[in-house]
Amino acid sequence: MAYDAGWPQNIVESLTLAYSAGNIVIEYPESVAPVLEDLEYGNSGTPPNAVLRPFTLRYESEAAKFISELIGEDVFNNGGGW
Amino acid sequence: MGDPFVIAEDKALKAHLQGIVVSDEKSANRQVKVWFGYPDVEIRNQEYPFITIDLIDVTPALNRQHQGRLTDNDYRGTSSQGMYTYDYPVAYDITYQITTHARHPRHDRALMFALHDKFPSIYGYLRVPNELGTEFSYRSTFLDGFVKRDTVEEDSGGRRLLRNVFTIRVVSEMTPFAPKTAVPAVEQVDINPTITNIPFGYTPV
Repeated sequence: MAYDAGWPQNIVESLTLAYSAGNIVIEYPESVAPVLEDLEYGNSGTPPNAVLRPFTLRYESEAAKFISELIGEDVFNNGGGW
Repeated sequence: MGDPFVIAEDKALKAHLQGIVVSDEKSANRQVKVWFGYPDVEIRNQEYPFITIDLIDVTPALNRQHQGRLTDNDYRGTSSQGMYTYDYPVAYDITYQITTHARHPRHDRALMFALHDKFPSIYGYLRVPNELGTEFSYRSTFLDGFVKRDTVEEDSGGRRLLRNVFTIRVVSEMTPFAPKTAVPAVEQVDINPTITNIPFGYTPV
């Protein structure tokens, strides 16, 4: 989505997804935060080109369920250890 | 004919934001203007404070989508045929970013309060006219996020720009008939065969 929205390549490549307490969270290094947040929310003169919020609205619940199932399956296959 | 899907919500949202007034030591009643998108300095003055509306997403709301057809057969004059059926509307969530822009901290706080008042975290609603302009529906709105985005603008001599960013979700529906009629098929193309004596300002095709 970030790539399709025209976000710079280095910002797109810095984004990662993590699973935390039943939720999917988008993580990125602190160094890209100012540029990334300007892209997401806009700044004085540039409109928002939101990616993180649409992603969260569309995919969070489904992706979290998917990963939860993967982890559960892995735990089962490893005899309860993970 | 009224406004269709999305345009109706756009206009309703702008209307909902009208009438906000802030005060300061120079003016007791400073009207806050509302724009779609950031004001272009070449087109209009940027008079702070102001509010901008940006549409950031339109998402199918599958979690509240019904499927099938509705039948109206109450014989109470709602249809000349006595009975008619129609598809369930398609559910969508329309997400907007509402941003307040201010130079004065008091304006910033007043706008923060005003928008939290207009878009509470629960029980928020938006009055949207139907497409015929004959009735209104009250759509639920949800405050999906709020962040402060204060900055110091180096290109304007280090002046502060105080911004509040609200992410607002408006529930909506579109009738299945609407997309079929939104972009009518081109049935005939008329080409002017005249290639001489073209009036000034026009281009021969």
